[in-house]
Amino acid sequence: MSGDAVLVCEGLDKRYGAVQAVKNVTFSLNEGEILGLVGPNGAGKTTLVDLIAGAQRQDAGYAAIRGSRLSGPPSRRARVNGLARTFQHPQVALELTVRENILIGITAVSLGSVGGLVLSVVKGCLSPDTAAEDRKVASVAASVGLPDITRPCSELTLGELRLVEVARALVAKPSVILLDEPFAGGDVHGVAAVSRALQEVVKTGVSVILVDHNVDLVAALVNRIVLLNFGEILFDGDAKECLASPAMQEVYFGAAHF
Amino acid sequence: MISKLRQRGAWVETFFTLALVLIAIAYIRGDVYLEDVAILVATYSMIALGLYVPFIMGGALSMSYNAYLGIGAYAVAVIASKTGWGFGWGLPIGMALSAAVAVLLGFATRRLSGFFLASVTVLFGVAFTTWLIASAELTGGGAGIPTFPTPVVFGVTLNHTILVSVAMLLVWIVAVLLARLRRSPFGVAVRASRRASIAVEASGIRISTIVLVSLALGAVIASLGGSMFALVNDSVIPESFAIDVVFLTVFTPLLGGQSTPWGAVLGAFLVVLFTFELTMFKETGTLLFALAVLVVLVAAPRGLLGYASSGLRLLTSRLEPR
Repeated sequence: MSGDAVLVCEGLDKRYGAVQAVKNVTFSLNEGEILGLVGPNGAGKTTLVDLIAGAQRQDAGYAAIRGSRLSGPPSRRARVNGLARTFQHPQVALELTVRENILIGITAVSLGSVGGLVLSVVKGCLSPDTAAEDRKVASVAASVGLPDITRPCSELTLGELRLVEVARALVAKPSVILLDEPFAGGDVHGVAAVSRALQEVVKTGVSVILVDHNVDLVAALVNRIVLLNFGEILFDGDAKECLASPAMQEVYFGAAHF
Repeated sequence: MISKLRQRGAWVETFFTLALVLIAIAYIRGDVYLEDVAILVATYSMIALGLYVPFIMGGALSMSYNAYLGIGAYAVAVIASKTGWGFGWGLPIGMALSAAVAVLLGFATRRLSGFFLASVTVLFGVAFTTWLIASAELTGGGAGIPTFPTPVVFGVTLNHTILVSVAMLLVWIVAVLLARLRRSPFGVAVRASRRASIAVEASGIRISTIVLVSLALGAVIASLGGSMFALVNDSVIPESFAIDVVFLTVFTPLLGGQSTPWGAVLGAFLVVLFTFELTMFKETGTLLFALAVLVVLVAAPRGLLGYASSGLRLLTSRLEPR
């Protein structure tokens, strides 16, 4: 099901003082693939996502999408390299509606440059309505199972806020999506809706890294798992093999699998 | 469906406010005292509208709006009195200068926010007034520029009444445009950046750039207000552009309501009412205004218009058949 490598990480290192958060991480993500990135709390999953997205700077190594090395702030990587992400702690403007929060993902392209910003100020004063964009927002929102997009986000549950983030990432039509624990705090319907939306979106050639510490949930969704512990990759391969591997037994000893 | 309703609401707002402004213009026409009050309301409204995008929508409390107001006013006065150019050049030149200053100041303070941003920009505002007084050759120093030629457009002399009416109409135009800008993609991005800046940045929008553009826009609006103020008064003095105009204006959207630029205009009207107009309160007007802000913040945190609109919604939902 997988094609060529879209995202390549090569020897990524990140150290906070005495703590080696990410250690010599090398792996690749193929086109149209959902890759599970699992590991216990503190394994370095979010740090790895931050390094790829540009929220933090690596000490060594690099990440590249379609052969071009990622550099600069997150906004540049989103615009130039087609990278989208969600956050472990949802970053949603609560006083805005669901529609408006998802709209951000679509409008970034036109608001990316100074010229684009000035132009959008003029355009916004004259014709502020976004009918075409709203249709895309509505269809993506429906696909992840968010019914009423006119609600302010302050009325949503934690699970629904995560759905808003996933929708905001999907609507940008990125080539790589980093989902940082999209299921935490979500209910059964939310998990099912996001899973379905991901299966759909990878068919269009989008590649997804799905981060979670719930191995069972991830294993049901993905073919390949990268297992991280203390910043190091312990296993990279078939999901079912990963569940049965000695590395997994050791990492999750007494927790999820025994 | 939703966007249709939203559009209809916007048109109702546009024409209702236009009617209000036209009635006000007709009412005050020819009465010099009322016209003076009106230009004060218009000027405070322009500062408040200037603050609206960067501060109320984006959360960046830059305080140096007295400087932008002053740049707009002095651009008109200096060009009209010291150059042979038409007065009309003062407006765009003032706006461009203000935008440039706002961008430079915004760039220098890009790592600051909240209290520290406010403090540094207050200092800049104070320094601006000092500079106005010090550089007497250009600005006339403490005495300002007492008079300059009355503007003439296509053979029509723009008298006091016409200029006040134009200033009021400009407030209407700017408020209508900002209300539209607020719900456009740019407005949504600015409002989202207030509390979810990491997500806006991760979506591909550079926060530092969008803040600079909002600050420049705010400066342009305040500068336009300053130019109109100078044209109506036919003179400029440094005291008009001291930092305390900003202290009064910062609270206007809190009082009037934050969810629409009209809240800033309503707040500006109340400021002038409390601090200049009500003779019985003249001494204590500022105190009263401060009290009014406190009462509104406690009783109706979304401002008077926010309070009114939720009351209206309650009423209409009661009237609708279920």
